[in-house]
Amino acid sequence: MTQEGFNPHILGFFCHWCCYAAADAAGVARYQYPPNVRVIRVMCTGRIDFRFILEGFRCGADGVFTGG
Amino acid sequence: MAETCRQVFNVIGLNANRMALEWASAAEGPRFVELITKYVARIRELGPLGSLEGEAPKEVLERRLEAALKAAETPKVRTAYGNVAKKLHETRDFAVYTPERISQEVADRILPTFRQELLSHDVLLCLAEAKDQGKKTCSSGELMDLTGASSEELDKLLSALAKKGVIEGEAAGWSLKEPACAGHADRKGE
Repeated sequence: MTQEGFNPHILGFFCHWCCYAAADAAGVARYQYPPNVRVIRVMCTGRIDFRFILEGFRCGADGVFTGG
Repeated sequence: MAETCRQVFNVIGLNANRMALEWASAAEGPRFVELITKYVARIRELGPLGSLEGEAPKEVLERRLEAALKAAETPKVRTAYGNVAKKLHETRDFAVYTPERISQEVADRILPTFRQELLSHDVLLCLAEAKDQGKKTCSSGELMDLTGASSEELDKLLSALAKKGVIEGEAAGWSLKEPACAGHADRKGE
């Protein structure tokens, strides 16, 4: 049930040393990727608690992506 | 962590596929792009929050997430969560960290506690909502429809809450007790 013009709000928790750096590298290398992700940088993926994810959804995110 | 989330989502009626946990090292820019592109496509497919078949409507989800958040902060749930982590760690055997084992432990040791706390906060939120809408009381049947709990579960919970003095009433109609918040009662005593 793909909806026309639906732009999902996605929350991203990115590890400073892994996914965040990867996102940065992808940006520098001018790779194209969807702009729907709003990024929150954390110092380590281990910092993330299930409360963060629940809170993300409660604040209206359609999806939460955790990248380590 | 991710497994706890998934199981909690199943309880509150949110599609667990909306959450993802993926790994990409700092050198893996292209892999990251691939992961994000796939994930965004997946969410597009799923549609906005609460629109999916088998998912609760958005208002209900929001209320339950609020209850889940409160439940997640209770010492009981935190202890259960810590105990599972400790127990697995104390085996001194990395082989126990299999998805099946973790899922089993979460289902056995965290979820029952979480579910109970979630339900109790959900009931309180329901009653508060009813009060805001100018409704004086909520019957057990209405609460059952709103929270999706079984009748025995709900009866037990309601009598426990009534004993604590948080709510008042009987099977026909429950309401939040005045003064509803503890801070209110404290001020009276001063």
